[in-house]
Amino acid sequence: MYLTPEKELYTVIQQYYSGKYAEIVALDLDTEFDFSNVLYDIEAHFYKIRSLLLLENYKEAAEFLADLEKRIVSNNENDLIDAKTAQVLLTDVKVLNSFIDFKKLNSIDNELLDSIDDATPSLALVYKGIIKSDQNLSPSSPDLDLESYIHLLFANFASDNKEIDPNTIIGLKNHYSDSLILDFAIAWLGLSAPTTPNSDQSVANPKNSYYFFDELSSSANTDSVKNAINLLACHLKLGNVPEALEVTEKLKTLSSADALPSWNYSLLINKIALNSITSNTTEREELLTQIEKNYPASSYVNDLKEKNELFDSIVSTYN
Amino acid sequence: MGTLIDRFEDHDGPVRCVAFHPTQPIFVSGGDDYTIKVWSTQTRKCMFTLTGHLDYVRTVFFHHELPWIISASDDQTIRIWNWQNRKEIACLTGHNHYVMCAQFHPKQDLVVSASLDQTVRVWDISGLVKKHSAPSGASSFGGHSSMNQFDQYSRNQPPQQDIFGNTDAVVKYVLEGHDKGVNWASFHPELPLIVSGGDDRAVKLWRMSETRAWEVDGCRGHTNNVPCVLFHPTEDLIISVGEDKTIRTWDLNSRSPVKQFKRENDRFWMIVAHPNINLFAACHDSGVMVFKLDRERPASTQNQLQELFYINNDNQVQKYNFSSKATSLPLLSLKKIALPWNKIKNISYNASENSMLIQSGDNDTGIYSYFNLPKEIVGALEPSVRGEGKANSAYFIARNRFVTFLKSSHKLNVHDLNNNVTKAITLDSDVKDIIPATPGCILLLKPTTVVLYDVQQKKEIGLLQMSNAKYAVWSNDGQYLALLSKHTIVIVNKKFETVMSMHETIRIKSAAWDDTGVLLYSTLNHIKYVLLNGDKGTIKTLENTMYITKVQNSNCFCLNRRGEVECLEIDPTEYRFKKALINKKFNEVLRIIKNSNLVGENIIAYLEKSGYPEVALQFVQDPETRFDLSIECHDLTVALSEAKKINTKPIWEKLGREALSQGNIEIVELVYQQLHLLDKLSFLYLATGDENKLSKMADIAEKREDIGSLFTNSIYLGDVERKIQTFLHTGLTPLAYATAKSNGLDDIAEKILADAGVDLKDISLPDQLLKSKPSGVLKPINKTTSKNWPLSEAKLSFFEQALSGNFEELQLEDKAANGGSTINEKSDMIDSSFADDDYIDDNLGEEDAWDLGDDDLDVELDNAEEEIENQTDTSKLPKELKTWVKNSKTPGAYIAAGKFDTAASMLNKQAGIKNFEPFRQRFLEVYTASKLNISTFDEESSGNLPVYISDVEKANDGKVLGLVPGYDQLEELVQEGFRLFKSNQLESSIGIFRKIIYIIATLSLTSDEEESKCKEILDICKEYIIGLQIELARRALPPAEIKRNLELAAYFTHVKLQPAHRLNALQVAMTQSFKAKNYHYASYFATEFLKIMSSGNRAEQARKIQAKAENIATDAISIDFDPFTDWEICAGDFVPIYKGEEIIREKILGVGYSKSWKGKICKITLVSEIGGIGSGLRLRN
Repeated sequence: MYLTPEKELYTVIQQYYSGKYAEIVALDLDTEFDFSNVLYDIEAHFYKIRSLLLLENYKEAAEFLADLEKRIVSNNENDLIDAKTAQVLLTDVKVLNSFIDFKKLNSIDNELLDSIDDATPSLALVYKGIIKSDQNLSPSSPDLDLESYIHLLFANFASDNKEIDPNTIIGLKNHYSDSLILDFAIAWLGLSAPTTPNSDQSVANPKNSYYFFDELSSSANTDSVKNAINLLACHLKLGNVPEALEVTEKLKTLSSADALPSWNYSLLINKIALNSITSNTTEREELLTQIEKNYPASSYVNDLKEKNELFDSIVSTYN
Repeated sequence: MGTLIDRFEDHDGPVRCVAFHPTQPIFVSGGDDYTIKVWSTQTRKCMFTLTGHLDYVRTVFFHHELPWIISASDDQTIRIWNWQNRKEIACLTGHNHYVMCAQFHPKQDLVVSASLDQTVRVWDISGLVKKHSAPSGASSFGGHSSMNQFDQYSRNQPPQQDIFGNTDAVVKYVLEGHDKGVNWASFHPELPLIVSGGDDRAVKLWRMSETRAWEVDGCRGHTNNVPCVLFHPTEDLIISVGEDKTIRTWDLNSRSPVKQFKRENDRFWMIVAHPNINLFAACHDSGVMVFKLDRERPASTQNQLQELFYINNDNQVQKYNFSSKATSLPLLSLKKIALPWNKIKNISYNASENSMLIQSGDNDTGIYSYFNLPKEIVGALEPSVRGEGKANSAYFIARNRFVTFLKSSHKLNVHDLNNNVTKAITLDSDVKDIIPATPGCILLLKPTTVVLYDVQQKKEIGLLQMSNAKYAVWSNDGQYLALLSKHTIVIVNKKFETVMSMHETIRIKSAAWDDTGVLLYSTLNHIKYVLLNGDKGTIKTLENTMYITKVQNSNCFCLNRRGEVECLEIDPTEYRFKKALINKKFNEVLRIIKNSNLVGENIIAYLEKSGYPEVALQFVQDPETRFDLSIECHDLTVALSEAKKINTKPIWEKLGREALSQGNIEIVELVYQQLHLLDKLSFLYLATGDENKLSKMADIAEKREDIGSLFTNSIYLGDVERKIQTFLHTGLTPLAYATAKSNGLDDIAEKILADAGVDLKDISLPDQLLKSKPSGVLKPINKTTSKNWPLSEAKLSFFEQALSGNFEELQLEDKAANGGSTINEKSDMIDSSFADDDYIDDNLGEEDAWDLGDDDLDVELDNAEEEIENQTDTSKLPKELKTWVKNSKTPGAYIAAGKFDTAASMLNKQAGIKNFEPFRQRFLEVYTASKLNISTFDEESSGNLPVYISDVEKANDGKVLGLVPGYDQLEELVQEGFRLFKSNQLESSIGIFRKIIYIIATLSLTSDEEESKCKEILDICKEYIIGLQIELARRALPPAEIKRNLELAAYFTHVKLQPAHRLNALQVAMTQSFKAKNYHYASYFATEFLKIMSSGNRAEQARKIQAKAENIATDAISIDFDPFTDWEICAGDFVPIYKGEEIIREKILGVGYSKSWKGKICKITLVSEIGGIGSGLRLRN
């Protein structure tokens, strides 16, 4: 569902996409927050549960899901949520529960997942896509749930190894001008979209991404390891090597206890690039060893392996 | 501006007042010589003098309609004069002190005066007017056209009388209220108001009714006497000047101060308003200042949708659509949020929020406000302000932030959309203003520079030397920026490099780029254009100053000073024509020539100057101009036809020179004939081998009895008999005899002798003369040329062909695409004319072509690269890397794109690189340097996105390529190599220099400068690695090999090291030689050492060795080292290869080896093949 977020929810979303999952988990949404709408309240709880899932705290996540289910049912009974919305939310809850089973027991509830409408973006559909990663789920319209729509767009991109045309995302901005997730998506695409001679004219350009992540990193609420890694990528992309070095220093001071493996993977790659740019061979070698050890099946490591093999063949060809 | 026109010097003493007549070319002055003088601005002379005042004349003014002058004097009177009959017509008495000022009412028959008697008086002069007017009401000068019914009525009333029965001019009101003398009083132009200023430091406002006048209020603030005060001609303002060195403005309605300006040292004495233009002039102790009270430029900004937002003169936001040329209703009224009496200086629009930022006011009073625009236009609504504060400039720099700048604190604040300051930056104190640049960047305007400043990174990213820049306009494609100051325009590119700079005499007011990239600008009274190469011209003359906002085809959208948009029709033909010419878009040029009536001396001069006389020729009828242009474009046909029309000697001479230089014999002959240049004609016939005509020339000479010419022609013809006859004719009998004899014409010789009566015995001729055979006269080599000189006929230029209607043979686009036709045509010409010439070596093979210049090499390389590119499979690559591959031309760029095989192939072909293993780290370094990664949605196991770093500089130039690192590290690495050298870590030092070689071989550079720097560094690497290897080899020698030791030490001194490092080599060689008793060599090394270092312990030691060695000067061991001959070290064996011996080289550094090393891997680079084939490394992409 797409809601124009009020400030309380806005903060939660901002933290969520900044990767501050532990902070979200620590929030007492019932006492610390005063949501003006019951849907905001439920939405915030979903973020909390998703944070727990990302931190692999399945037990607590299951408990919260049970609570949330009750909350949805009672709100429906009290006419605070209409039946249709309640149904959508309850499906989301079910799929999140099935995701927990999938993670813990590797079991897939095909019946449930198959019942989910593939044409309508929803949180349930996002998790269905994660569980059934071979399925290409691409809802046709962002209506009803912009966040899930973008999420699925990115997921398809990752699986198909295709580029997302930033204009499709930028175009959405006309209808959803205050959507945080759009801002994040544009900032991500600003970094990853192919450079063209006119790419600085587009809204999704590295400079704007830099402004975005710099702003997030300079606010205590959103200063996070994930944003810092993205900021590091911005500096490197923009050729700001001294500033990139500063960010790596800052990263050392940030708590990396809750850092997700995917972030560490990005960080290692970005640090390798930094050391290549500065011709620091020793450090680069160490980082390469680390990434090979920790992420042996990753696309980056595979690519490097291919390149090394290619180089071997070059050496033997010309010798 | 401000130029002195003339001086008028008839007054005897100071001049206190001057006034121009509103319509006639005259002006009046009054001074301390008690006189009033009327001057003609045409003759610049005094027309007449009015006398009568008995003391200084303080003020003089013309009546707005009647031929009258009013004067005020220290003699306590006011006098009115008729300047037509030059008579005094009234003397107004009543003031009992100096009258400091007297003025007519602008419409009514009233006079106001101010006196040091502390009063202001209003006089009724209707009696006087009536007396001096015709009964019908028409005056002798013009008429009372503005007279209304009320005036008519009052004129019909019986005139008022004063106590003396004087009815001409009577005091109507005496205004008392000033505590000291009153210096000035003025009427309001419309309302029944008077303002006065006095020595009591007060400015007072008075109101009049029909029956009375009274003080309304006073404006207090001046801290010294107020010598002059007036009403603003159009606004509700009072403007006063003071001896307190200030000019002050007051709100007429509230009488509160509005603004003030202070001079440091000068007291102000008078102020006057221009009758039509918004200008004021104020005199002070050191001169006059002319000024505006406020800016007249309406603030404006554009959005992406062909719309202009601007502030009208009622302080309302309005919108203008360039497409429909429609002006909207006012959107918002800013009266309440803008500073009163301050024009809004700038506005900035945020499309994503549909919001606007405005700024008004200067210095510390400056403010900004931020508000949303209404979605629907329903009229001038009051905006609801979302943020406001103090600032002198305020602009959006991104969709979610704006900056404000306050000059007094030098603070640049970055605000979010909630008006929270998210960043505060202290700028340099000399920053005067800021203007927006690209997103995220602003321009800092300093007194002598303009700085492009990235707000987020707090970095100066561009600097331009330019004084007092005020405005900036980006071209529509964002490629160029025009910076405007009062009299200068500088155009810079995206990198902030100056493309064009020009000076404009008249003040520049505004500029905008048209769709084709031409800058149009407005001055006070013109719209002009300037092209990127600096060519400029005038498009339109303006009656009123305009501010250009947009140029679209032939529409120039301007804002006028009334705050309205005007669409001016302009003719873009001239600048489009010039632009097309400059860009060699000849089809466009042709189109314009055919479709427009582009004429005028300017354009002809321009074409001639720009090297397009053949185009100019199309516009001209005048024969002389046509002749000059045809000579310029070497068109002899046109030149000849025009020369015949003009038929003057200089023209024929000019044609002759041109024809001669082109080898057009026919025209040259015609010219010489025309000019009777017989000698030249003869020589022409000689040169062309035309014996018939030469013979005719000889006949002509004979007939003309021109002996000299006859003789010359005889020689040219080789006609010995005629030569002899000429000698005889001139009485040179001996010469005639000698000529005949020496040419074997014995009969003639004898006859000459006989005729002269001389015996053969009396003559002795040199034997040599008699023995030599007659040489005859050389005949011209080229005898076939009855036609013109055998040069290929110059091809017609593109335009000449096109303009003569020959379109079939023209391939417009191709030629234009080839960068113009001239080069191709020239090469065609050379090919055809010299194809069979002996000068060309037909055997010049393709291999020899490699020895041609770099350009040719580049062509070959490009082809090779195209082949490589065609072979490169990019289908599996991500889009970004595909682009990189497509744009790659260097091995480095290919490596960044992951095409290791292509890069290796290039390195092999360019530099004969065969051993790639040492490149492994470098390949990996280049490849990984441009690969980044970011996390997006964490739920996804594959939610990470790859990010590629492309080379920012090259992307700006339109080439998207992968970042290739290393160039920035080179200097540091060289220093590291030197450091290791100094610290005797020779192997490590070699390792560093080799690393540098591998880096350079895989760079992807942008400029010549970078490339030449790399080549210099490669030379350093070569010398150091060779030197260090020699030294390592020497150190590895067993002690017994003294000779080799000495040789290697000597060779080490031969490589080109830095002087400080060469000292080490020389010291080693010197001590080793000395120890081995090779004193001669030791002396040589010591001398070389002392050339570099002449003092210190080491120098002392060298000096001792030198002294000792010079005494002995012998060498115990003979070594193979001669420092005085030309040789090169073989980097394989470390033995000299002397001049003449075969040297085999490798291709990266050009390291030399003896023949036996051919085919092996270079010991210096460890990667390149010795004697390998290669075109040389390509470092620039």
